[in-house]
Amino acid sequence: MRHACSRVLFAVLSVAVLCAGLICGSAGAQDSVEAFYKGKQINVVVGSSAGGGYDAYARLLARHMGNFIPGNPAIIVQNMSGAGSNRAAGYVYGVAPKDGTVIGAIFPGAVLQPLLGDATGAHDPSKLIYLGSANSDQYVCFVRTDAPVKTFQDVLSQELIVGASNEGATTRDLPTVLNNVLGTKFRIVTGYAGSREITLAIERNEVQGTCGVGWTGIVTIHPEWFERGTVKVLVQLGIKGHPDLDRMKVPLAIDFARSADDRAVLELVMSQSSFGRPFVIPPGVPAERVAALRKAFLAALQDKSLLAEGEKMKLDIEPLSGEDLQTLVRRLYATPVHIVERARQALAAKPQR
Amino acid sequence: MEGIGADAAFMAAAASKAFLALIEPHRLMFLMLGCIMGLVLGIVPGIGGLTGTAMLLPFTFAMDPYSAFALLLGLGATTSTGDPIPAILFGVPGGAASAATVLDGFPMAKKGEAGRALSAAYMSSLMGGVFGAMLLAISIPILRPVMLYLGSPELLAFSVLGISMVAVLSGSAPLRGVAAGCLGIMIAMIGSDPQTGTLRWTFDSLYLWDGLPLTPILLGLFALPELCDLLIARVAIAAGFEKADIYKGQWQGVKDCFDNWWLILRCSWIGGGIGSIPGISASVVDWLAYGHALKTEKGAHLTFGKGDVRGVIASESSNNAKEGGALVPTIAFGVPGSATMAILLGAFLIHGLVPGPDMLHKNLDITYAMVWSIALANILGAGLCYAFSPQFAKLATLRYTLILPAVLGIVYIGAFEASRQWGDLYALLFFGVVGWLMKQFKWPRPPLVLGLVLGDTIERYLFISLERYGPDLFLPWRWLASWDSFTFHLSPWRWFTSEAQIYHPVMKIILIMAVVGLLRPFLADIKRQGGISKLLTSFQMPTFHPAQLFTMFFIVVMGALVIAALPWHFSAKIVPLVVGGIGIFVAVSSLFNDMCRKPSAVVNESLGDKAQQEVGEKIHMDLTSDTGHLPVRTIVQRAAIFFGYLLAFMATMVVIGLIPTVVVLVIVFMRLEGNERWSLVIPYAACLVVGIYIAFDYFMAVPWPQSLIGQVFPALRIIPSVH
Repeated sequence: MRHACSRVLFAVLSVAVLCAGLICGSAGAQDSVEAFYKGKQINVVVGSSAGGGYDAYARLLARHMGNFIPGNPAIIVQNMSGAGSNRAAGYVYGVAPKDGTVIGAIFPGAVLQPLLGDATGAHDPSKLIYLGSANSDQYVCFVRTDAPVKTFQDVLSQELIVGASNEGATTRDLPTVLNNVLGTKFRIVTGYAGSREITLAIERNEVQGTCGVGWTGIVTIHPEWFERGTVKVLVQLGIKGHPDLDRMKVPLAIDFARSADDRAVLELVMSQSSFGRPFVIPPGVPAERVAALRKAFLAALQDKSLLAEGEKMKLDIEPLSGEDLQTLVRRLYATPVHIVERARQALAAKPQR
Repeated sequence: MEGIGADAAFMAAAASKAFLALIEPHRLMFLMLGCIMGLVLGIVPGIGGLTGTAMLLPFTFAMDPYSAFALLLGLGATTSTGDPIPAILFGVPGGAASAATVLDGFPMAKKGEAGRALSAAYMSSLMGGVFGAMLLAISIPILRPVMLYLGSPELLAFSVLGISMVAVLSGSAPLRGVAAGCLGIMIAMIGSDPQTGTLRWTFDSLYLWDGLPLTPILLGLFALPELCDLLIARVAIAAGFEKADIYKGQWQGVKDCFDNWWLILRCSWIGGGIGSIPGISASVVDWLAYGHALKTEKGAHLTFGKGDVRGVIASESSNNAKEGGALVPTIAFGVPGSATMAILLGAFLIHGLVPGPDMLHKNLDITYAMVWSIALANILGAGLCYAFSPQFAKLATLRYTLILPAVLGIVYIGAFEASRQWGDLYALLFFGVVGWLMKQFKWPRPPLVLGLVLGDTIERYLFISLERYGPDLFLPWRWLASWDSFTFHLSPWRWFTSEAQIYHPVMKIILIMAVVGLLRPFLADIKRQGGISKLLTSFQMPTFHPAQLFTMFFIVVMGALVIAALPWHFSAKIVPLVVGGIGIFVAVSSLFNDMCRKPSAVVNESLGDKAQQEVGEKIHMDLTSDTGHLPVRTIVQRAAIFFGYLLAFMATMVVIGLIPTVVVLVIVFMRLEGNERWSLVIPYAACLVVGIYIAFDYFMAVPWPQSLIGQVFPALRIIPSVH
């Protein structure tokens, strides 16, 4: 039995070695990006399970990006959910091969949390290489029009019941920071599973509004709410205004900051709105492949057929280039320590009752 | 915000328009295609329709909405039709919502009635799915008002009502049942706490951050113990019934369903109802329907869990109805009732449909097309299953050395599919041992599952309700405290006005029902044992036997969990402390009862008999080990061999990766255990590996964990799963 066993094993091994040899040989022959990617497969590792928004963006990108990478590699999507995508980020950072065959699709939280949260992930966001972000979403606060609070100014003096999911989610973190930095009176009811459950709670008047949901998402699911004036957007939670919302004269929350430090804290926490869907690769990928991937990323997101599909799927495409995102992250991680510390405290403090 | 008013004629017109559109040949073809994929995905344990639906979504872009939903719903609706096949044949639940099928389906297979059980499962799936769709079809006009009426306090009450089923599902061992339920809730609390973000019992591991996934726990609790006992008994599952007439059994199964159509109707409406409540996991519908059948069916207390076809019928009719129910919040509010529905919601947007009032009015024909798709998919799915059923049923008569390696390999990969990391396999192994011990020592496992699934929901809605409405809502003595409140509760016509937002009368009624349901079996149990006075007097000096070690182990584990919880933030620890306290109290009472109760019969030698004698005459609400005829020594020895295989599997996987390990497992197991000939072993291993490769590596693109050999010799990474 043992004899037969070892023979089978030997056969398997020799075939494997032969195949591997062939691949290595062809890669060594031509030292160019095209030669490297020819016949290769790129895995896009998504930090959420199948079916969510991050997954939808990754699959959309995977269907098109291969056409723009020299050598036209096949691109497949793998789902690796867990720990708010920190697991996938850790995998891309430390475990995945550093040859440009693995791309991570992570949450903005996985970029920001190591700086602002207590959780110590296995990755260092400032060392990841960014291919860019597929969209930027403006977070907003909105309320039922029958609620006593009518403007953002009102929340500074009157209580407003807002629905939120768990800690680390924008629906909990952003109103908490507003309470602690601007002195707003959001009464934050935490525990809803996600933004869809919160909107249902708003619909049944269990909560009066919510703070920290993406504008494009909510207006897609409930366009009639805004058309008929069932709800009203109170404030924008971003660094700069969204054209639609600016037209509706919705103020920016950072404009209510009373000091430069306050403003810096708010900017730090709200920075994630400008990179809604970051795509990353591990540190150590050869520079010419990084350049090719970044170029392909932008080209794919400007491609007509991708945009048409995105339009159909109601996925908002607003690319941010890899270089710009890299600079942005570098700047975030260079924020003065006392600002970071204040932001941490503002995030950690218990929601006011 | 309301948009009701679709009158009967309008509804009928929309329904018939949708039906005519759906039965066009090319749409039926898409539906059929979806059904076939759903069945294939459903049969493999641990895989639902989620990945399949996500991958299919892009292909539906170019289709018209009817075809797109036919394809997606065909897949979604039939994944649970295939689930009972492994549940009945091997005791391995094919999906989270068919664990209850194991309880009666597997004993039926052991009695040579696999054909009948499978047939009853398909037919009840079919009828349940159709009834569920019917419920959806007729309730369309009232969907939105009903859903808007159910706030967090009501959802909390429903979850508590669900968990009160623990009492029924504990059978003759109510104390152990409650203790197991408490353990389930505690396990559900593992991970980041939704209130404060406290990392509860995560032991610094990222894996536990999101909590334990359900699949490895269910496979561990229910599948591994059956496989272990198969190895211990060393016979075919249906040993001695090789000649059973499968076709006759099939006919009998169909007849059973028609005889029990009323039960099917009730269970499917339970499934549809629970499936339609967003935020309550539908993975327990099978247990709730099973518990309902146990409570209401004649003589069920004596035969359930021993191969009563009604148990299979109850479980399967409910879980096929849940997908129809899950459609409700998706179409009415855009809140997906299940993960598959989240993807369906994506399909809505692609086809320019906005969930909400429009779906029940302007686009009512599309809504009905979905209802029809689900109904037809269930019929097609069951039909396909019937076509292959005789071959399936024969599997139960094969010798154990042929069954075990393939099923074990697939259970491993199915568990790994849950969150695709090593932790899944540790969880599988851990709960496998716990499940086997629970089975041997007659601790009922169903309450643990109930606690596990509902515990999280209860905590979530409890905190939302407390934070939103304050604690007074939950203090019964405050309910009638003011005159206004008093008159409100006495005037039911006011219960459905906006005042319900203040007083939540429905929540109160359901909570009272839950408390009654929870206490009644205990009171009955005390009465059966001769009242409290008799209970308090029939004690003796403590006696000890090894089975009590398990109870002690349980107490220690719960104690350790409670101690670890002490330093947490108040909102993070309050529920774990209360539940842990109850669990420990109940387990200590149970232990005291075991040690100090005067024995009433002669003690036999085997573990099984001893345990049976402890829990008394009443039905034990779980599968029992049929290894009682073997001496304890042999049982322990062979169980050690079984779990040794599992450990060896994992060790090998570290070195050479998952798929090669399956090859090694097949070869070693079949040669060592059964001395099977090479001409059988090699093709067997080859087929299994090719199947696994296509399903998991090629189709699902599972990110395999790293293996030593892949690290040392990167060239070998060409072999699937070696990384």
